[in-house]
Amino acid sequence: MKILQSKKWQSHLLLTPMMIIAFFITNCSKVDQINSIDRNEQEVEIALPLINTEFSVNDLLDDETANNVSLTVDDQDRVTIVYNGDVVQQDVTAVFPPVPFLATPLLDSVYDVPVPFAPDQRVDRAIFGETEMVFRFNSQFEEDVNVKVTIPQLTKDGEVFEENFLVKYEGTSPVDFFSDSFSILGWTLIDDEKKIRVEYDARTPDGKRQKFNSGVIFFFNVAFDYVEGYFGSEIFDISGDFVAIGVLDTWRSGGLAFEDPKVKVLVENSFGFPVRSIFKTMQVVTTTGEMLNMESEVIDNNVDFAYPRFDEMGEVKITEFSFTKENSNIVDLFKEKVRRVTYDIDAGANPDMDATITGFINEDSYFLVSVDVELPLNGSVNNLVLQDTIDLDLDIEDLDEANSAEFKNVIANDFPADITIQGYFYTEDGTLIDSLFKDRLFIPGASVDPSTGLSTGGEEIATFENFDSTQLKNIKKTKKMLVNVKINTGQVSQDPLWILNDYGITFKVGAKVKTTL
Amino acid sequence: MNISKIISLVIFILFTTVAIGQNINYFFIDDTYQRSYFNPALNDEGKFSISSGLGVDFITNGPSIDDFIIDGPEGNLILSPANAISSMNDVNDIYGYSSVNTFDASIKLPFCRLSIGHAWKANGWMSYTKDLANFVTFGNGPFVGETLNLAPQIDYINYNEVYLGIQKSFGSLSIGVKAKRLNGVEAIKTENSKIDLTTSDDIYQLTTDTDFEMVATSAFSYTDIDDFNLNIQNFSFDNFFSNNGGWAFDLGASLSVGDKLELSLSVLDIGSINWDVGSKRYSSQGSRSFDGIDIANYINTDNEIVVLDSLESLLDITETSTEFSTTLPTQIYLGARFKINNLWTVGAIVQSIGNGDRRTNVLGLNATASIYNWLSAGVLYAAKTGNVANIGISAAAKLGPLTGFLSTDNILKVGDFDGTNSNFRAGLSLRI
Repeated sequence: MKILQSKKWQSHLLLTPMMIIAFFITNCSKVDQINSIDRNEQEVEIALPLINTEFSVNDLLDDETANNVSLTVDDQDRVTIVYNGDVVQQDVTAVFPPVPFLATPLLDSVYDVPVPFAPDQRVDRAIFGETEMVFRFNSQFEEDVNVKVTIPQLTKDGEVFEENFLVKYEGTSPVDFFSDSFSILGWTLIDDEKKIRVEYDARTPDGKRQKFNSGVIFFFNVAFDYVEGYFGSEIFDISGDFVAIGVLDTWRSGGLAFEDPKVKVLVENSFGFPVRSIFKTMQVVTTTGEMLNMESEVIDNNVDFAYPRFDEMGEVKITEFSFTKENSNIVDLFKEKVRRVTYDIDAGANPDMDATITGFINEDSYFLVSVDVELPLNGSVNNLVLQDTIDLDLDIEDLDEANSAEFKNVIANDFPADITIQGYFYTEDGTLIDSLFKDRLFIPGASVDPSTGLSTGGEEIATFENFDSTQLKNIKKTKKMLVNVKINTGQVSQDPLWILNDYGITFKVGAKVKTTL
Repeated sequence: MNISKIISLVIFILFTTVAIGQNINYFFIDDTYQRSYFNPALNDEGKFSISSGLGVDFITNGPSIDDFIIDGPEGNLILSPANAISSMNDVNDIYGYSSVNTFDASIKLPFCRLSIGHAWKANGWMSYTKDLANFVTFGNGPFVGETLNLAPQIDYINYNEVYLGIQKSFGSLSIGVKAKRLNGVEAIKTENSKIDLTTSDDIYQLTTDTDFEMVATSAFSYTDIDDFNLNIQNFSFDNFFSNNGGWAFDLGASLSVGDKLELSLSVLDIGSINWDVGSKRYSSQGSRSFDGIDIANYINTDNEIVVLDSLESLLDITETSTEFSTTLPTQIYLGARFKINNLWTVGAIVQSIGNGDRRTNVLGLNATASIYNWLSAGVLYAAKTGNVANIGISAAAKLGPLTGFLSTDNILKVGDFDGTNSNFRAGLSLRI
């Protein structure tokens, strides 16, 4: 009994926690609700870098659409922009154009075939290139005829050209005979009054020398690997061309003054005879389309190009000359925002028409002219405004999800010039949407060491631009962006300044974008 | 980055995981087959038994589920990770375990007792940093100039087991062994876990320093940082008796000293699973930076600027097919029960669960009263690693040969999301 009584009060004590269990399990309201739990919207801020770049002088000038530009750096790290014109080259065919086909009748068994050299040319010796010959004879004899053709002026390794044929009679007369084709590559022709003597010795089986009704000598692809003589007063047409100067393609206003611009002409010549320049045109074309003539003693006096002598055969002789501030009006011309330099230079052979000068041409002979414009980056910029419009599609889906964005711009400018930038977003139809910066982004120029005239390096500055969700949604419509850049060295120095190769503009942009998830 | 997915991963772990610090209170309930879950040697009564049951355990040293949830204006619940961050440690562990013992059967033969049974179990541990929670909740914007430790660690398996057990008594000594054939459903496991993200205070340049290795079955798929999926299954028979095989063994012994005292010792889940179907290794090694786009490379070109690609390259996760093996968290139990009289029985149990340096220990002290012949109830005090104050209760009711019970180690948090240590076990046992 005691035990049972004991159990009775103890059972109530222990049943209490059981009731608590039941209470918790049956009243788990949150457990019931877990299937319908909602998610709280939370604003998330993502910070990430967008742009991190350093524009060097090279990057600033890099433009695939103007691949004629390059930079040179001197031993003091000073930069010169070089705009290269097209290279114009002439080879041996300029003097002796290949003759595809030449047919000359042999009016007798000993006959002088005329050679088609120009009247003022004298060929003393010529070595044929890939030229071939064919002989044709019309035999009236009703029997076989043995023929020996000899060309005494054509020799190779001391041997005179000689070929033998059999004009076979096959029951039908006359016989129209064509020889096989003979290559005369490497055979030397000794000219004699612009004639080549061709002899044929035709004999019937009884040993009697005969003469055919007619004969013809055919030349195919008449070309020479080497010619020696006097080549007359040939004019080589270098063809007019221009050198595009891209630095001011986007010019809108302001001035850019170069201290020492140059137009450099380089001539390579391996023809073995005198050649002289003939300037037909030498002009600059400004951004406004105005054409201004270059004035220089170089143009007035012309330039004799160096050429190899006989003992220099195979060498290429270089002739360089320049239009500089010392010998021309080029500095004044380049103050006028030059967009291109146009030129038309011919080259005249044997300008003194001295027929006693024996020259030569070989298969590797060429004549090359290249014109470069060199702009040493030493000068001043006076409120130069450049402006360009670029295609820019900002239809980025994620922009819809952004509540706001804060852009951090970090910029350092090594150039000794103040720069301000603004960008404008435009729709496809040209409607202005917004600007890239609330106020023009001002990038102060680096200070200049007065003793050297060189930049002391730019300091980093940071600016912040905020865009709200409405602005971001609008920017999505952007299809074009107009970029306007203003450059001025006047605030930094009144003297002309050099641009060094290690100058650059560091441009970094990071963004903090807030969105709700 | 899909923050929702990461939040979902954390929430998933909170609700479903698993496995260390399992309910120990039902060790003290008499006349139930389920005692043999602690020690195969304790299946030493009756001629025939069948049973079934389920259990759920959850422990975290970080915020509770309730911390993640706020009440909405219309009485609804709103998931708010931001609300939980203040309750977080720098590193937070979550353990979870759930099991469904579909059936167990035991029969006494002339020389021994044989038992067979099936259970589905999910067992997992996840560690996440406060930095990770801050990052997925607020982004990296508020942490400019700082390095965030984002690496989660996870060790999760989900498997079916079919066992054959044998128990033999030698006088007062009982020995029991179970051999368990395992077939894995799914697994995810990190081997190396270092993902540090630094956001510079300059223009927010991003730098990652990673040494991350994770193996997973089809439960996880990764395309890129914006496209990964966690496809965790619950009760499932996938690969049952086919793939992802393994073996495990339970060993136990118990000793009865007179009619009053019972001592027992067991080691459970000595084994592993070899994952050989659809298993992949995801790796990210090294230090990478994204400093922004160098637009000088894009001027006058048609190349498209894609920032996302650059961000993805920060992790540069590579995926390779692989087989891997996971070891079950081994459980060790040392128990004792002393029957004071017909009403009271007291006992103690020491539980140690885990692998390597990730092992937790529990000491439980129990007093159980047989209130009526058909009803008993117990109270448990449990001291667990990192949590020394837990009061649990249990109750068992008998209806003829049928015994049913409910048990928890932490009565104050049952059914409440505010708990950082919750478990519950229910079972039915028929014993003749």
